[in-house]
Amino acid sequence: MNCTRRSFLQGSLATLFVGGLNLPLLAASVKKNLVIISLRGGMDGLTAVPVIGDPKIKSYRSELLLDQKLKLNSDFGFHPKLSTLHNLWKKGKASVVHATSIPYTQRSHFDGQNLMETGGLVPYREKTGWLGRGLKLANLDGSGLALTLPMPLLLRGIEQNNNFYPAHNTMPRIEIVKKLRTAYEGASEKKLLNIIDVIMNRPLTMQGGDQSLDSLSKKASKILQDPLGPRIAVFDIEGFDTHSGQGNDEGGHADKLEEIDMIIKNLYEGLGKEFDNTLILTLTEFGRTVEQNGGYGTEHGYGSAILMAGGLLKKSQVLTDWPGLNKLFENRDLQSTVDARGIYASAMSAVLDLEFEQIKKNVFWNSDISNFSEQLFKT
Amino acid sequence: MNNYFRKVGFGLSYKETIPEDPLKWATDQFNSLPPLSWSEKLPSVEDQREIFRQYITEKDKIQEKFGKDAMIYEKELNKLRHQKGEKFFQAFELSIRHHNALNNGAPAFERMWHFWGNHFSLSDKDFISDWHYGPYMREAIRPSMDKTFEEMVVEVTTSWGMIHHLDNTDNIGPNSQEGRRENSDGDKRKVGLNENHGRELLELHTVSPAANYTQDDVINMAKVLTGWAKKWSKKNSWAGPLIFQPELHEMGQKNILGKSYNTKENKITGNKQLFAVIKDLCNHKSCREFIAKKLCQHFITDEPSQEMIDPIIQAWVKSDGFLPEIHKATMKVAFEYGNKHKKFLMPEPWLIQNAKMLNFKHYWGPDRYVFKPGKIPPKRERNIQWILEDLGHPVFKPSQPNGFTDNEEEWTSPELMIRRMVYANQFQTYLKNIRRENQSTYDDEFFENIIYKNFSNPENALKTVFSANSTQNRFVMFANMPEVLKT
Repeated sequence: MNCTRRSFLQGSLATLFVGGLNLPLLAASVKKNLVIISLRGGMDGLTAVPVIGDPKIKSYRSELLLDQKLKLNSDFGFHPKLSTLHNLWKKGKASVVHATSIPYTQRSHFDGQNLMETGGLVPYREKTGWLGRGLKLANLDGSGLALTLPMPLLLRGIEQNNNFYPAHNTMPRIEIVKKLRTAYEGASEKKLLNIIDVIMNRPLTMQGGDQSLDSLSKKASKILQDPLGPRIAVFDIEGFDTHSGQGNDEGGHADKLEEIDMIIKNLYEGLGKEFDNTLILTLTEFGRTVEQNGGYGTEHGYGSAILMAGGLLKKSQVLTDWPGLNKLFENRDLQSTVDARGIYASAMSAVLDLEFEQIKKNVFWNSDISNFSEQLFKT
Repeated sequence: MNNYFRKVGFGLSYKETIPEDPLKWATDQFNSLPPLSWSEKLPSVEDQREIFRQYITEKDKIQEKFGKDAMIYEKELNKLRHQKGEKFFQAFELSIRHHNALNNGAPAFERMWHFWGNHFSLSDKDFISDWHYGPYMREAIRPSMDKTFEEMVVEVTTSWGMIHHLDNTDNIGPNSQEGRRENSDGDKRKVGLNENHGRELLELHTVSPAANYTQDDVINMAKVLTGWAKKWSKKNSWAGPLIFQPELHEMGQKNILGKSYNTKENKITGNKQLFAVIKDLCNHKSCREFIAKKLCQHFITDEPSQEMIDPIIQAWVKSDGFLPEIHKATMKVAFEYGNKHKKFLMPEPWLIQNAKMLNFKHYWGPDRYVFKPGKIPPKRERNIQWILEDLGHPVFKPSQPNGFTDNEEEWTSPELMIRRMVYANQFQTYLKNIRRENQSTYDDEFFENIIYKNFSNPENALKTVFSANSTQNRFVMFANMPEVLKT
């Protein structure tokens, strides 16, 4: 492996030094966008970003190995379905953080997804999401947009979030909506009042289209281009929980990776030059076991990978403190050597123009997370 | 007080009189299993498994024959889908469910049935939502509501749908007879454990993570579950019947949450092992607490206090987990705390409540559904399915095995509220499904009637509804006013 622990640590030290100067960041005049894609079910980091430089993988999962890999460096590649991401990699606009996870090791989807969104350490304790708290800190009320039907926990914690997931049929006339507003006001229903205000002020771009990820991501790229519109978009992809039929180049996991790639492709093509002011980042609750199980699938694991794209990335790189496959976490999972929350915080710092330390303190309760802003993002 | 009929049921229609003793009205519904309002023969789990079997075997043939030409393949596959009713059964089953909720005279029981169907969710996989969820609700959940929680867990855990959607057929003991044979025959294929079902049995169905089980407990639970699998045969392919297959069962002792099974002293082996483990799980303190809290969250508030939860736990302990007693205790707690706490309604009960109070019919009666193989179901036949999907609550199609949450935060987003307004705007068009002689006259008196019956503070509600003039707009106001969105 070329990617040694040492080179990784050197990178971290440099970052710490810059972070330690505590320079106030300049407020940006351009609108920067953050797009989050939540991968529910537990994405297998070793399928999305296969390790080339570690032959030991063959002994663990003979039927899940990829025939084709899109090479990134001597150690890692992309799954063949991530072809857009690979093109962006060649342009210096795609990166990976590997062997990373939120600090949660109990392997429950639902507790894990809760923590992936709250950024907390105890399931269900926090009622707001790390991104919602970040937006609140940046005073960006009304700039969150979910391309999902429920408001994801990730965005909660700030008022006036919007979501878009078009349905057919027509709204009641505006007079009736106003009358409902009066009823909510009279009943002191603050939350309903807030929602109806968001509904009444929806921009014209939030019309038409359908509920497919293809249509939603095309729509999102239009909405994000609006200089006064939302600057945060959140997508959900479900179905990464491949206990059986995970497949390799094709199969359960491949289909899901193709969906990620499609969203990125639509955003890249749709955002045009605004793509350079955009960062796309994936979340998942955990990775999957290194070894395949009895059903050509994998079980719930620990370490996974974060996929990133966009012009706000400093360069194309695989950032990892690679733990190797000799010593697995609890003898089954890829270790996580990077607390993913450090990446989330650094990404917010880059997009929301907030200092990392400020985010660390106000969004992540001063948790022990590392600053990767300098290494990963243009600041 | 009148709020209670909506809190635990679907509200009172304009024809109904207000029951004198609301609590007795609710608890009496749990004295015996109320029959379904739709008494015609309905598809069974076995009927639907047979359809599924035909579907997957014929699909293989189509793939073999037309697989090279994507267009023809897609066309043939669509034909097959209509032949087997893939687009028919979900709407049909939803129609039965809503017909029953509105007409069988036991709305509190029906709400509870829906609760358990969601607690033991079958997430969307291999058309389970189309062919299987309805029969599963009738065969695994409903009859168990007259038994103990433990019996319900056994019924559900060994049901075809649960085993299928949580991959337990792939869960094979590496030291079982079959496991050893498979793993020593020299080919690449190796078999082993699949933790999916074992984990969810602990986490979602019984003790919850509060029991602090470990990864070892999960692995042992998976071992206990080995053998409970669909029986493979050439004819059935992977749609075989569910049979306990000892040759797949992992040998040896298993330890779960501090208890040991199949030791030298207690030889609990084979299929009996699962029953013994389920018994202990259902008697675990965390299980009672988890379920009691979830019931309070469903009917009363997102953040129930210990005082609300305790009487349900006590009823559980006293009756040894007898569900009718647990249900009655829940009704009582909802009665006592109902006025102080408001619960935001999930879309499905909201829709059914509106249908009941406003006297519209958003579905076809089950009597109008006739399954004709090959026929493409008309749009209006599937309307109920689209409504629930658009409202964000396709009850037979949860995307994950934890089902739908009833947490208010999940249901209050702009888009979801838009959907409620959009569909409330349609409600008036659903009157055409009702025979003229049964239709209401939507005059002021009608709205006064239902509002005085169903709301503890009717004045505000009346003011809100009467601020609009047309029936259509009054429906929109009614359905979306805070008094109806919350109970």
